[in-house]
Amino acid sequence: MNKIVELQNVTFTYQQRTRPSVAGIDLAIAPGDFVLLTGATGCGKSTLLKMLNGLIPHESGGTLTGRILIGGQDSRQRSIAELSQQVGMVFQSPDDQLFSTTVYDETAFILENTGMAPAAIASRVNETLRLVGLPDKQDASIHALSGGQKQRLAVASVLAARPKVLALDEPISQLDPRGAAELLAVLEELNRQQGLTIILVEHRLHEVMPLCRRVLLMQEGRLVWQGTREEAYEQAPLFEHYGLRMPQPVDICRLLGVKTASAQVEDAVAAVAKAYPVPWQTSQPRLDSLDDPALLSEPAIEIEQLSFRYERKGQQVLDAVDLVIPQGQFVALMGNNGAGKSTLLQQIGGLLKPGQGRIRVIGQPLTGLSRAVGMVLQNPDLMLFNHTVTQEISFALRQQAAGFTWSPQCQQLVDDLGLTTMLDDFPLALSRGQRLRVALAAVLASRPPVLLLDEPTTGQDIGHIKDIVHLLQQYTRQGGTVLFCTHDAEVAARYAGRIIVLCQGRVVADGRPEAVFTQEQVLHAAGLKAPAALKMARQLYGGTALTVEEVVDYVQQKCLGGSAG
Amino acid sequence: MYNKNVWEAVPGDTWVHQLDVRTKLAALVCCAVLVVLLDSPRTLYLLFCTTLVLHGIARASWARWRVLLLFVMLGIWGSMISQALFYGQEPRTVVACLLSPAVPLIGTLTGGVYIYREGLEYGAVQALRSASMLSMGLLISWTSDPRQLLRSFLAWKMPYELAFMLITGLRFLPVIFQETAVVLTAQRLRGFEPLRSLAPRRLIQTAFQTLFPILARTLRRAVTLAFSVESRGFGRAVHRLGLGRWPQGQWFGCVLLLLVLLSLMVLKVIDALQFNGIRYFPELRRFYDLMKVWM
Amino acid sequence: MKKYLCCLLVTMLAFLIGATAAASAREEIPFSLQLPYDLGKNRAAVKAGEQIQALFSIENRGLAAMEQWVTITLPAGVDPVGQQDNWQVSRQGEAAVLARQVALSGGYSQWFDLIPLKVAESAGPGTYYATVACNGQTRQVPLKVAVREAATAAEDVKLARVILPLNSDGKPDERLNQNTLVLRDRQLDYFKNVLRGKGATNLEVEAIHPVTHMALEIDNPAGQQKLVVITVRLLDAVTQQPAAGLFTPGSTGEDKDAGSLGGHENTLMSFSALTGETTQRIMLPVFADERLLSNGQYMLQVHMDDGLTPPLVHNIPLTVVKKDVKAAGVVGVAVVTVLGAFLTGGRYIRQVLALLKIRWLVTIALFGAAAFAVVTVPSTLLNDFFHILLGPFGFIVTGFFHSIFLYTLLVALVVLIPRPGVVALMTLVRMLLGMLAFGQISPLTFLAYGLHALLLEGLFAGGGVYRRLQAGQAGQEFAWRYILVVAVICGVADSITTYVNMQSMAFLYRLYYADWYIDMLVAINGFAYTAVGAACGMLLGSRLSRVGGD
Repeated sequence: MNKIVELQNVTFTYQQRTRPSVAGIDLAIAPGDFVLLTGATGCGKSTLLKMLNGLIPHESGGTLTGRILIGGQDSRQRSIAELSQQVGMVFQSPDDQLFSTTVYDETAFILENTGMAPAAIASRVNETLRLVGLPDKQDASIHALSGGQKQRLAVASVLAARPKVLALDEPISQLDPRGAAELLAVLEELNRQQGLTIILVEHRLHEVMPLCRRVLLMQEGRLVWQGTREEAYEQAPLFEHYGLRMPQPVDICRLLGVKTASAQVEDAVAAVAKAYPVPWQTSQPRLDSLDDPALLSEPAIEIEQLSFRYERKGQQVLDAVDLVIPQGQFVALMGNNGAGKSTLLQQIGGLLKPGQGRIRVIGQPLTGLSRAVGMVLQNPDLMLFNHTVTQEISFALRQQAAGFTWSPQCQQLVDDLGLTTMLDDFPLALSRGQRLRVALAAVLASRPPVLLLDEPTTGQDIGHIKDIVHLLQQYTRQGGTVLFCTHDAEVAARYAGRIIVLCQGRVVADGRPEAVFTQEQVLHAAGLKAPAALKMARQLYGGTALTVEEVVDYVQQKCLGGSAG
Repeated sequence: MYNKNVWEAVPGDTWVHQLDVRTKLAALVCCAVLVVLLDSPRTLYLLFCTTLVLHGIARASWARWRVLLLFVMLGIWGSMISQALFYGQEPRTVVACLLSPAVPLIGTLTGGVYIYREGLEYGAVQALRSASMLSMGLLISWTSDPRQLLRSFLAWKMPYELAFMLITGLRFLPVIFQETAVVLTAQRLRGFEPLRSLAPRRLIQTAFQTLFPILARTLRRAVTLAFSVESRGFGRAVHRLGLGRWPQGQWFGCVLLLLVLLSLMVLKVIDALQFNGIRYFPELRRFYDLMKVWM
Repeated sequence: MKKYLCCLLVTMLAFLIGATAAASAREEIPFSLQLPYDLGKNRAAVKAGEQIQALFSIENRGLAAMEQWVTITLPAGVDPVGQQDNWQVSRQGEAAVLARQVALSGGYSQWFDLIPLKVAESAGPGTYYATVACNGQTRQVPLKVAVREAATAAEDVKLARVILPLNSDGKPDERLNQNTLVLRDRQLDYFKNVLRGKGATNLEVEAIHPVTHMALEIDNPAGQQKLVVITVRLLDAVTQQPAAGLFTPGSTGEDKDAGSLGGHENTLMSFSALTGETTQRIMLPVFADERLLSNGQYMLQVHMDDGLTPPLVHNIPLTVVKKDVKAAGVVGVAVVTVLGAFLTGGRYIRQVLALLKIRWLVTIALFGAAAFAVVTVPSTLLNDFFHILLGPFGFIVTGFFHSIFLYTLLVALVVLIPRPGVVALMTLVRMLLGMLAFGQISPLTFLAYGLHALLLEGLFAGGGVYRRLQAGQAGQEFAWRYILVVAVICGVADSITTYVNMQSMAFLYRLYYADWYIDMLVAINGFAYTAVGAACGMLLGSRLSRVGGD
């Protein structure tokens, strides 16, 4: 086999660590392949990726054994600059990796570093920007780009050197659905038309798996499984075991014992329909009302005709928003970037003053920050400022009562969130998931009646998401109200009791998940997608099931006469 | 002020944006010399207004105007008031008595607090100097691509790594500002008012609470950015391209500016010669009058 | 009949004209005697035994010159004191009579005289009358004498205190040393004035500008009012011999007798009045000729003489600072050192940079930016504010930013990247950002930043801080002893920088500060705050070194 990337018994240990982060990896990747490298957080997949362009060991230090051959040449023998001509690397955060202020300059940076003539650079930049779908953005500011465009620019900024391999480290984890789709479309195009080898590190399998041809699964530094995408679909339990989310159609097929080689809804529906004579659902569920018992309770948040713009003559960010959220409800706020979600949360949090309209929280008019509202910001790192987890969690309570140290409720929180063993650790030194959980615990410790969370699922793996949601559900059962922004339709559909969709500052949909996700035009306008399970349910039997389990239950009940299976 | 967009250099199609960074830097240096050279409040005021006009031409956003005005007004206010109160040179004319020496205790302690007219004028002139420089500095950082600056510094023999560091600092300064604001907000959300008191213990606590998250974020960002630029061939061995040609018109403009500056220096010397009674040229009488008003 | 009537009318007219002329002749020679003549507050009565003044004044408003004989007859119990050069004194019984011929030229002329008198101790309370006769007129002037209070009888005027330096409003600057005379260095006045657009150096014009002001605090429990001559002179501190240097600007005009400089050499002389306040402060401008004075310790002797009683003398030690050699020396050494380090550093900077990983360079740059955001920007905004609020003590608050916060960041960075050059690079980035974003460019900035970086680098390397940190583990907790060592190193470095900064302000901008003020600034801002900041930095660095990438 012709190999563009080859790893021979590669083991790497970071400085000041005793255990290797990558151990005994043997791997060969053919030119033009599209490889998905996946695994739970901390499994070593990013470390492996950094070996491909020499960042490891040249930049990071540490001990590397074995051989890494890029284009047949040992990476140790070549500098990072030389390797960057072969392997282009794109990182997770679009904001942190871009260095220039214009799209052109960012794309030209790598070419200038190779000493290319300015005239050649200009034409190469043009060509590259066309490849990533940004041909008219040459002179645009990078600050004016959306998240998806920024990531495409990041791809262009390495693609300009015409590398043979493009290595991407969780490139869609911080993007909204529209941005992620844009980027993935570009990657697919590059792979298909340019024959570019793509190695993608990602744990959001449901979004990227349909694109790749090969899948590598890592766990604790080792490559535990590798195979084709289709083989991976058959190994779904293995992936689930490692906390990875397979595409919902694959899961449904697997649970129904149907073989499928595709994650496409249509293919899965065809495969299930072939195996099961699924009857069309006769009784349509009520889609238009929110008859949750929680509705009967007192309102937690009341918003009347709320409008807001950041600058007097600027764009209207919120436009006559009317909302009533009762106590005890678990509400997802959805919409693309720029729809006004974060602004709405900040309004309710008392961080911004309404331009027009009124907000009441627990019956009281909101005039500023309120103890009744707890808020977890989009970047929880910026909320952690204490020396230990214990101090962090008890911080707000110490502000309320001098001399407060710890309470059984705090202990319960840390137990629920799996933080018990790290009470004396420095919060900012924890892993990303742990940091989010500490931030959440720190806010929940003072038991605010209303909790706002700004994209808590961004960049988190499904295991962390489940932990958090479990805790939040407990909290709502005790009367707390949760309003959270998310891009993750599956999470919103599965866990939220109500979904509010914002588009250009207006509420365009508000209701139970099955009601909202069946409004295709609204979803399309808001840049959202319904969960694949719902799409399957719609196509398979005209249902409104939101989760894999619900679809499987329906099929089994109707076709096998029971839920066992 | 903590709005990130306010501090980020945004490309634009205005004349100021299109200027070569070298031209802008040359203008900054000229401005630095000019503010020292000029004594006339009205000329300094005109110079300051010119910098504001440049911001206008660059179509600065309202948020940027606000930041600029905040810094300028605070500077002018601080400078004028402090000079008006503490002006130590003679002569000085009391225009107002804020606190009579006869006021028990405070009056006795302070010996009276007065506003001196000369202090106000001196403070205003000093403030116009610093405000002009501030305005020019902000104009450059708001309208120049950091990488263009990088190229300029390289062309002027600054070590590559140092220029890169400077530009990195400049590029991420707005982000750090914004994150500082977010961290302060996060503290308020958790019931801690960071700047409510100036008690030493509280200030240190605030400092720690603010620096922890910002610096942790900084460290993580540094790793990503370093990996990103290294992955794109940033290295010290490879010869990079120099800066493109300095547009001839702009180069000529800069030379002209420099010549004007030199001429002003010469004029200042000629004026000083007559002012000090060393050498008087009768034929320059009108010019001396002009110098007195404008220089 | 008509004839008689006409004669009568003419006679009446002649009489009227004559009477008017006589009256107007008298009106052309107005005279007055003010008794007592108050030098300060007006008093209803004088006291027995008190020295008072009478002011006689006479004018000639006519066109012709004339001579007038004036006689002042004082009441019994009030006598002239001292030598009366202007009057012939005789006695009529118990009353003293002062008389003299006053020559008054035509057009307009005036003659007046202040006559020192004394009310007899034995004079009882009541109203006494003095009589003044001139030009055929006689006027009586009353003088009320009150009972003298026994308590104040024995208390004489005292020269309680001499205070300098003061500004023209009599306000002391707490930052300046007391009893110190800082002479302006006029050697560079020409250039300074040219730069300031003030005109040529004119020694005379410069000289009549006071160096500083002094205040004499006088205790006058008896409320005496009198004129005094104050003479201030310098004495050698050891020999007590008069020293040259102080002068009183002359009043002869610029063109003769050396103009203003040709006054009373070596003494500062002033006439002043005791106004009768129980405590009185007399402000005097101090004129000094720096050509005659040299640095050193002197005695400042203040002489107060009313010509009648023995003069009052008050001595205070005085330090004369003519040219601050210390400041010049300190700044000179600092400049040479920084310049040397800059040139040497410039040669090796590429090598130093090459040894640093790009990740470190980025980290240093971002820390520099963070320092700019949390130190430079707040300091820029708050310095003026707190200067207004707290005056010279504003540094107590702003020191939090440029000492504690800055060193917290700086030391944390050193803990994270313990490599030589890190401090210098971060300082450089901070300085360049300040120049680029805020246009902060001045010689003091270069010196302060340069010395700061140089001292810290030197002391960190010399004190083994880099070595020890490199040998340690990431995320380790530091022993308090070690934290103390780093804190002391930083404190020492910043104390020196602060001290040099103050000296350079004295040298470059002639801004002198009291030793105690400099000591306080060095101790609090330079050492204490910095040490606290450094200790916080160790703690912060140790925590941050556990932070890894995502």
